[in-house]
Amino acid sequence: MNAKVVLIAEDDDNDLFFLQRAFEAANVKNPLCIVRDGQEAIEYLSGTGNFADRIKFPLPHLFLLDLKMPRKTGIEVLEWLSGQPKLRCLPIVVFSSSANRKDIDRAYELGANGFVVKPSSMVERAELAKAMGLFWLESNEPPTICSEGLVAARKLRTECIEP
Amino acid sequence: MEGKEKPFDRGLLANIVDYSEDAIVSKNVDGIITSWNKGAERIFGYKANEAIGRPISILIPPDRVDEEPGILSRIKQGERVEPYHTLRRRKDGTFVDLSLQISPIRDETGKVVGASKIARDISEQMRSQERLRRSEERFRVTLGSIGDGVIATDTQGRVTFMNGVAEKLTGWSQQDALGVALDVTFRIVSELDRGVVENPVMRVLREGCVVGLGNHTILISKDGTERPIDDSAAPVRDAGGEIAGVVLVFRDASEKRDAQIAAMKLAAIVESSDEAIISKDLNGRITSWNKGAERIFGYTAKEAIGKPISFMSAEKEAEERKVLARIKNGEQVEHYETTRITKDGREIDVLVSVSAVKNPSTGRVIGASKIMQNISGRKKTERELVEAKRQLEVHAQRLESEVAERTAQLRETVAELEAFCYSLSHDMRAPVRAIQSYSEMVLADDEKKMTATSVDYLKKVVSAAERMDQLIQDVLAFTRLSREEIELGPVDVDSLVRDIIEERPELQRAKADIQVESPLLQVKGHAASLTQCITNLLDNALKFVPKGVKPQVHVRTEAHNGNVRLQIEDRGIGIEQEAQRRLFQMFQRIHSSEEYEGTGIGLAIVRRAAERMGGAVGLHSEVGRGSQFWVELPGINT
Repeated sequence: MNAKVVLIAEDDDNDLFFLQRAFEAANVKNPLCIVRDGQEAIEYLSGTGNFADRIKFPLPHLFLLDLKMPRKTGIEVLEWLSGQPKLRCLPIVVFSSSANRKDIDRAYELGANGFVVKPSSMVERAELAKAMGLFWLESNEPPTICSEGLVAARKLRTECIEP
Repeated sequence: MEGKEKPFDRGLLANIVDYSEDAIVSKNVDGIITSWNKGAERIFGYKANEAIGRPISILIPPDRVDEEPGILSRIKQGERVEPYHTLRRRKDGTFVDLSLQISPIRDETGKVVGASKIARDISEQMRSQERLRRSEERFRVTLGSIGDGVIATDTQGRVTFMNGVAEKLTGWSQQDALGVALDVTFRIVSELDRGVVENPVMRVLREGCVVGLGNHTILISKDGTERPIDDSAAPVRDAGGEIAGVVLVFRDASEKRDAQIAAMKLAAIVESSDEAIISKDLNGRITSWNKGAERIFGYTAKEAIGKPISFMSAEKEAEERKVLARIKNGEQVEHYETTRITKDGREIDVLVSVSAVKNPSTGRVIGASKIMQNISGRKKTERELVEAKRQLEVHAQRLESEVAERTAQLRETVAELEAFCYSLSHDMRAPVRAIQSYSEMVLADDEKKMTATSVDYLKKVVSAAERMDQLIQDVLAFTRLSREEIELGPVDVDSLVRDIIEERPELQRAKADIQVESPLLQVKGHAASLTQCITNLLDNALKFVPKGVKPQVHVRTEAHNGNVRLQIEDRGIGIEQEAQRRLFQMFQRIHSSEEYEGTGIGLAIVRRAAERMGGAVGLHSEVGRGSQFWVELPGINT
């Protein structure tokens, strides 16, 4: 399984559905792994709980993170990530409904690599998905942590569980 | 026995001669000494046996040798030489003053055979005369040099002596004044009524005692100059105690009088002063108490003088003692405020200044003077002022806490508003997005399966959702403008406008005719906010044109009272006068959505952005001819 995985953290069913449709429409075929809140996102990335199987749940080459989510918000996930030496370099694009100045600056401070206001129309969304696929999943060279695969992820898991 | 031949008792005579104090000497016509009594021995120092038989010239000083021949010739002629004063030489060579009387000695026939000399030693007499003369001289010199005028008169009141000062003050010379009545040379009148004052000499002569002139006597000199004088007259008595004359002593009292007048003026000032002026000695006893003190404290001078200074306010005794001790040490005492109790029991505030009273000649501190001012009125005002200030502070505090409370409430409201906006942007946009997206998907997937009406409805759903989303975003933009801090700086309007036009496809030449009057002036503002303004105004200019007409827009800047006015002018449909007033308010739309799309927030954003940058907005418009919107911002002085 060498496919480059996209991890999507999104609690809204509709938005998740639109995003999946957009990747389809843009013909981006990479596997999309889904978590439904911030807490799940943390568990996924650290390989704990339901996400212990790294073969099923590998580290993503791109992490699309919604800001407003239950249990843990996107900002809280970023805060957690910035405390993880290996994971902090994951490519992350934050999705939000608004261009809140504070949110944007805070996200970048905590290591986000992009900030996108969720498009409203299907067409715009498809264009965005296409652009992201082209850039992050094809042109971009990911950090080691993404390409080393399972070995790195296993090591990482113990680090995350026993901080 | 008388008339008879005188039966001389020779023994008796010889005794008389012998024991006489005077020298009794006889000589013959040749000047040879023939007899020499005990008196002669004592006066001249020669014994009888040393003198008899020798020439009388042994007694004559060399400078008087001429005397003897004359005397001898007169004696030979039988004349007497009346007593005269001369000088003779003693045996020891010293000289002696003598009163000499010489008588011829005749024999029984009456022939002059010699001469008898009676010489009296008058050295002592001469000395006392000299002393007297000297004493008189000294007296004269003394009187002459004395600082006071001195006039002596006889018992008739006529001038017998006048010293230099008297000459100066009266204008008479002693020479002219001698023998002149005192009334004439010493004219005096009373200073008060210019009435004639009785001549003191007359009173002395009448009463026989020392007389002092009354005060306020003025002496009028010979040339009419008037001077205040002090004088006194005393009788001069002779050895027998009888009045022999009067001596009058007087002096120019001008300076003293001036000093007196000055002192009186000062005293009058002290008396009439509103302030209490009090003096005390070093024991703290009151020595003076003016009218001001009477008025302020209620005690009369009579009640206060002689009492210890602390009699008014016993509890202030320590304070008084301390102040007095400092005065005694020669220290300066600053003004100070304290309180005193008046006679009628009121406590009053006083401002006190204390200074030392010194003996003018020795400079030693002999007491203290105190000037006390009743400042009760002032203190009352001060206290009222303090109270007013305190109340003001209470008010201010209350106001402050109210402001703080309201600010807190306002902050809470703002926080709530922010939370509302945040949720508006996230939670409200999500369903709108869903409506739009699902509608679009249905249209994309199943348009061919639907009736034309359904398709039309669904398209309306999409456009309504789009408008709703735009509305939310505009409201967010507006509130963000109000909330976010912006920093003002120079903005290059020219390149800003060009960038905006370049980036927006709908502003390109093909779709719109936009003329920019380059170069546009720079302003002080905030690039992002200004971009929003210009974008919204250009959007409007392009939007509000009659259907099918290519929009024409003119952009230019004008200097306007130190500001820069950015004008965006269109040839569009224009705006009615009525509508212009409410144009910049939120949610104000003049046209229906069918005619012209819009949320009614665009111009409100323009106005808010301009105001945040310290500027203003406005418009000029005519229906059918177009509108000219302007944004005025501070200019940059180059």
